[in-house]
Amino acid sequence: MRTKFVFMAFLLFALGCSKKQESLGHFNGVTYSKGVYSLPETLDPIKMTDTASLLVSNLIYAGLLKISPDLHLKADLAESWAASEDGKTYTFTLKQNAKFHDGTAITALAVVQSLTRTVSERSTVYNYYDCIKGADEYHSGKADHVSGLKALSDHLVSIELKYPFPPFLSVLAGATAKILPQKIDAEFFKSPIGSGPFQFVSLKRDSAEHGEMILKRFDGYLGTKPTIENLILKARIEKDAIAEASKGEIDDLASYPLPGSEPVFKSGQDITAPIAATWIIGLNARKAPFNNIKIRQAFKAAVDSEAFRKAFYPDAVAATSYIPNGLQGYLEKEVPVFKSAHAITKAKIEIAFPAVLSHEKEMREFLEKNLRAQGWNVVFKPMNWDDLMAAYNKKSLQGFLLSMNMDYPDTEFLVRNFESTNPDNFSGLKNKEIDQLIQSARATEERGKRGGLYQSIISKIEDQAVTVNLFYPRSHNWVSRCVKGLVPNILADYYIDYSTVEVDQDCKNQTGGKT
Amino acid sequence: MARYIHDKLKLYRIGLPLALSIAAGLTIGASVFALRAKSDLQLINSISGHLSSLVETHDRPEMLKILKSIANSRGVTLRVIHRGKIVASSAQGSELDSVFEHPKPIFAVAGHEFTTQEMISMLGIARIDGPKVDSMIEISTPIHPLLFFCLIVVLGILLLSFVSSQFYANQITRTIREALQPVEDLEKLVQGLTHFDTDPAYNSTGIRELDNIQGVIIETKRSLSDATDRLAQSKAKELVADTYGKLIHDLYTPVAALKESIKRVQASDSENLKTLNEKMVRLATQVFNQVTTANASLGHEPKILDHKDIRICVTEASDQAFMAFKNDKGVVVNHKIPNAPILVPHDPEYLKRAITNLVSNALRACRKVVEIEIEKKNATVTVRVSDDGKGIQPEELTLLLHGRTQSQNADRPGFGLPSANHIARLHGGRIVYSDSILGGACFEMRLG
Repeated sequence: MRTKFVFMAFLLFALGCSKKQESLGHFNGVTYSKGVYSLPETLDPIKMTDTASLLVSNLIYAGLLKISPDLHLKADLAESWAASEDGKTYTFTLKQNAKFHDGTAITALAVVQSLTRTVSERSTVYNYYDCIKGADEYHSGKADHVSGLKALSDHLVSIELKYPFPPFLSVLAGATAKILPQKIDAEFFKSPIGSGPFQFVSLKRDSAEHGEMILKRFDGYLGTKPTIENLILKARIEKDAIAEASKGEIDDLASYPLPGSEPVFKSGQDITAPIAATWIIGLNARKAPFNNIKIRQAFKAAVDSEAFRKAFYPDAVAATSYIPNGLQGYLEKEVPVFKSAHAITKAKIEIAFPAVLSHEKEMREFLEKNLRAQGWNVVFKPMNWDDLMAAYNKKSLQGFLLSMNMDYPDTEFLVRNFESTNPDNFSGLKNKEIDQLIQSARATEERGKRGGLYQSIISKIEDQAVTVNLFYPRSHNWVSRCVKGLVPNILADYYIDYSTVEVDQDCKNQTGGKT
Repeated sequence: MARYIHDKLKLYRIGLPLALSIAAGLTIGASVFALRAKSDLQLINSISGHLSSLVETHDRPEMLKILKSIANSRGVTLRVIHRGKIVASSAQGSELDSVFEHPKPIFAVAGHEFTTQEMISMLGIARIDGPKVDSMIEISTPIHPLLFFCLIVVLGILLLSFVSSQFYANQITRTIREALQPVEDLEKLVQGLTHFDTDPAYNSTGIRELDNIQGVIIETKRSLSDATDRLAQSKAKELVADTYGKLIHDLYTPVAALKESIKRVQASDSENLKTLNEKMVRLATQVFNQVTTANASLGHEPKILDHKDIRICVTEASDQAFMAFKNDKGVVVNHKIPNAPILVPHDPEYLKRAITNLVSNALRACRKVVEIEIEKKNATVTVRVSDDGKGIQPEELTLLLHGRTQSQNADRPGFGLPSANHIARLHGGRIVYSDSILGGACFEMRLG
């Protein structure tokens, strides 16, 4: 599966707090500091699963397409594109003067090679691209190239799919479908070269939660040229980031899942918008006692989601299913009134909890107290980011609390997590009927009909009780009052287009940087 | 005339363009808003079925794409409201999932509501032969660009109509001016009626009525000219008769005095002869002067007055009157004349005639005493002639001063007092009557 985790590990919280902040030196031109909860796990797009990496990917790399704040697909490196009548082949014409940060031209061969990497054995995002013809053969090593990817000329690329897959264009606009230079060696990602609006300058990693990444504007970018000349990504835990924002040392806290009630909002701007995500407690059907559907259903019913939402994120929307409102497959129904019931098992249950959140302890205690009162032998275990991610990927957790985000604006992205053949199926659910419905929806080009299929799929997934749906969050993007032009993206914060963001230098000078 | 026409056309030159542009503005504005609202609603209606599907399937990304596309192309803001909440909006993302708050309109027309910024139309989302969807779409059309458009149209019409009306007003003015030219010529002709020196040129106006009037005016002018000549001749005769009448009257006293002197010469002894001869010469000179003056008065006003001692004039006039007077009543003439010279601008010949008249009248009217007094008070010099006769009734005075009474010496109107009154006025003075302290009449000639 390809969910995005908006939390960072809490492990180094104390360390992060005690570290003396290092000077970043002096920058010429407009400088913008954005707080991020962690530095990117990787700078290789085909390995990106965390939001910090996806954010950086969208800043320094460019793809054939990109997603606008209003979820339109827009040209990025592609000048134009066309689909074949059977919906299986896309042909892209590249912009003639597109160049990488080092000045080399972007060619069709670079596109083919970059997309080939996405289906390579090393790719952790392979299942986004497995619809490409020949992807399976290449991924398994049976072929030395992907038959569906062809460079027709220097600036013409064709992509042939195994079957019509309408969301594929959205996949190509995602943060993992970036175009890299043809020559990539082991050292490439230490100082990566892309063709996005900003180019890599340096990365200083003090710890997973503390460090700085410095980017500068790429003047050869073909899209909207940013007004920001220096973009500094400051990795800070939430508390430190807020403190620095209050002092004017950070301009942007959009990466943090803030409820909007923090005092810092009184001095800065709160740019709020819904976000296509769902906070869930994921239940692993591979692990006892959740291998028993009755226990999963009972556990799901035992969590007072509404009480949790109201206590910690009151402006979030009550969740009715795994699919957030505003997406196809959302089940519009009344949230059932919570009824306390006795636990049907004494088995020990351990739910991994991201330690990054400011009120993680209160949250854990709230949920534990509620469930224990009903007789559940449950523990919410705080885990740092790396451990949580590692255990999640191994599918070794009984359960976990995470926010499930999307990489492209289609419900297909979320429901494929429950496909039995998907290696990222976090729940371990194996249901032939659901599999068939997912495949059927995937191949359905008529949008309304596909929406109906998604509703059927999600109803069956809800019956399987592999997720306890807590709420649909609402983002509160804090920015300094001197910042203009930040437009929230309802898909995810890492799709915010920073080429349109401006900093009012007069305002900064007047306030002395303080918000 | 041109200014008058210009002013009269002001209403049409300014009022008409204004009225036209306001009417056009209102009409165009209403039409623009109505057409815009209708067009927006038609567009939304056409996609209503599709939108209902998207609402039912909660396909927000697709709704956002559609709303943004429409909003960008039409310059409106669109919101889809489902069960009281905004589920899709072409405006800020922060609106999404919030409770829809209906803006308070200022007024509503035909189902469209207006705020200070927008025209708002609400439309239910429905699909044909499908379940009812509890959803609405709100279309907010900014009114300022529409108003700006209307304003531009109004200004354009105003400018165009103003220029047109100005042009037509000028054309009308010119046409009217050309049409009125014969009337103006006629006006000049009428004004020329008072000038008889030139015979008016007869130019046809081409307008029969005006030509008739012009002909009548020319005839009238010629008739007037002839009448004036005849009147002048008549007046001349009258003037001559009047002048000679006055001359004869005025000569009466000096000639009488002359006759008396001749008698006295014949009867006098040698020692008085020299004195009488001198008086006769003076009287003869006076007669000559009076005849000369009478001749001059036929066409000329008195000559410029010189400052001279009025005592001499009064004394000689008194002596002349007294000499001409047949003093069979034993009348005594008393003089109250100051010793110092009294300089008054006057024509001695004229003024002497007037004073002689007053004194002669007083001698005839008195019983025993006539008093002649000269008084100077400030700038006014008064020659006062009083008698102890029976005086004059107030109702007779006006007749006397204007020559409406009968002369006592000839069969004609009495010229004495009118002549004296005329001469006093020629000297900037006047004759005032009052009761005399002697019991009779008192005539005062006030000069200065």
